[in-house]
Amino acid sequence: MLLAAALLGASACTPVTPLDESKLPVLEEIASQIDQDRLMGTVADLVAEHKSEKPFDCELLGPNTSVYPELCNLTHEKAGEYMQRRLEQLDLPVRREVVAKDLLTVSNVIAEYKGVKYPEEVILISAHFDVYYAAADDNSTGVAAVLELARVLSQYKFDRTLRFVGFDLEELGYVGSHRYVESLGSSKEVVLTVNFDSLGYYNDTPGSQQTSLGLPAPSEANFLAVIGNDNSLERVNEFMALNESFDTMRTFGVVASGLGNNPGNAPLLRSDHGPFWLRGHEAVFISDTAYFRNPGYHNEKDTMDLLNPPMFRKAVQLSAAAIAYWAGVQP
Amino acid sequence: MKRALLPVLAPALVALGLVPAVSRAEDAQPAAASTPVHQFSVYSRGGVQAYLAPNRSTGLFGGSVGVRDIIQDRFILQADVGYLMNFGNVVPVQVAAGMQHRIGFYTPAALATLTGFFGERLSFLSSDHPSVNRIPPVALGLLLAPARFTVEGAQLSILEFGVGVSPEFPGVGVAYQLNLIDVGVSF
Repeated sequence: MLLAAALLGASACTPVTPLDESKLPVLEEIASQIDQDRLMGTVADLVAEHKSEKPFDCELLGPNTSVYPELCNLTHEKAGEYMQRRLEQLDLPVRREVVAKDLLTVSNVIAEYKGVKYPEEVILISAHFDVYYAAADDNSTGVAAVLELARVLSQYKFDRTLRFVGFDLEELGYVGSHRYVESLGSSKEVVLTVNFDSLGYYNDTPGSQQTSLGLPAPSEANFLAVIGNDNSLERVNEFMALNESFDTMRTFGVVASGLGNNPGNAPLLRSDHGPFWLRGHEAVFISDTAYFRNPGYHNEKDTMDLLNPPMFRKAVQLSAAAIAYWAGVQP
Repeated sequence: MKRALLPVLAPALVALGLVPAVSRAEDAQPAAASTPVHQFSVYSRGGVQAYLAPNRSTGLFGGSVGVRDIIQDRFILQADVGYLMNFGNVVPVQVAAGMQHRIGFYTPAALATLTGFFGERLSFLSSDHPSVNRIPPVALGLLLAPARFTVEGAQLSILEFGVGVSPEFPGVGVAYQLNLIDVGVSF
């Protein structure tokens, strides 16, 4: 039985997902347009916006604030306005989706770039704009990635619609994305969500990447994680295959079984893709793995000097190529 | 060993319903000449059982039920099936063969195991493992039961330790097993 299993195991790894290679030249061109200075400039702007804002009234959140002091250092309004302003400058139609419910009111930022062949099919590209402290990595890098992707991708034509979304109040329990997914109801228009949360922290030192039981990873915190569930397995495979084609950076894929809601998968659910997974939508989560490596995670040390701009750019480049591929870029 | 543990073990087995209270006095007698060639029992165990490899993790908490045959009071053949959760919903299937050593009712055992983990998993993709391996891992290993006791055909074992390996091409995965308790009843 062991021998049979071993032989089966040897042949069970299906080949890396084949790509439509005719698309590779245009994907490479798109990736090359991702601009490191623009990315870092946007992160700097966002950090400044957060620093200039009076934090969220944490008394609304009850007694937990003494245990979690970061709750009293959450800012979101100015970053949301900044995101809206930047998307409007690209001549994209932008709206705020405001949902007031219970104690919290969320105001998601939503911009859209229509597809030409299947406009009813939407690729949603998201990052949360609420942060703790100044939060250069978590998640000014994610928002900067979405804005740079909007700038570059809106210069091309795609089969599917691209929807750029800034989610509000992720840090308080994925409130913005949860309410957004609720608003979708049974609609299947969002065919894929690509969520960015923390993209800029990398470290080549062995042992710099933390892991937990059952969640192995390379020892050096110098890779980009692309995380999916069974529904989005093919997207993870394609992301890995694109990276192999372009040799952009070290990537590490993680695929959770089923919807991804098993107890051992809890760390994988910790961003705005989670509500999409749990409702059965395809979603991939792209991250530097945040608290598994960044000493500034959710504290005042999450500053720009911790970021690695060239690696951050590569992460966005690879993501740009993947999104363009999934959206059906036209030559 | 026997005299020291009997006051503790016998009431425990009675409390678990594995041994009739009226037979407690007889338990002091070692199983000897009248031992049947085959002694079948059903057993249940609970604890931790996980398979961890560079490209996948599966299992963790749960338990199993199975059938055991003790041959000539020495050799053990057993097979069980169970349910594990944490890294997905998993059905572990284990077959094992080994030996027990009887010192009165103290019967430590060692078994060679073959364990398959069927069901969900957490997968990790890298340059070494670029795609998800959907073939269930089957690990060859060893299970030790150093605190195992047999009274009148009922078996109680606590803190069993097991480890096994399965090839992953490249690399290997390791199956870990920690049974907190294993209880068997003859039929």
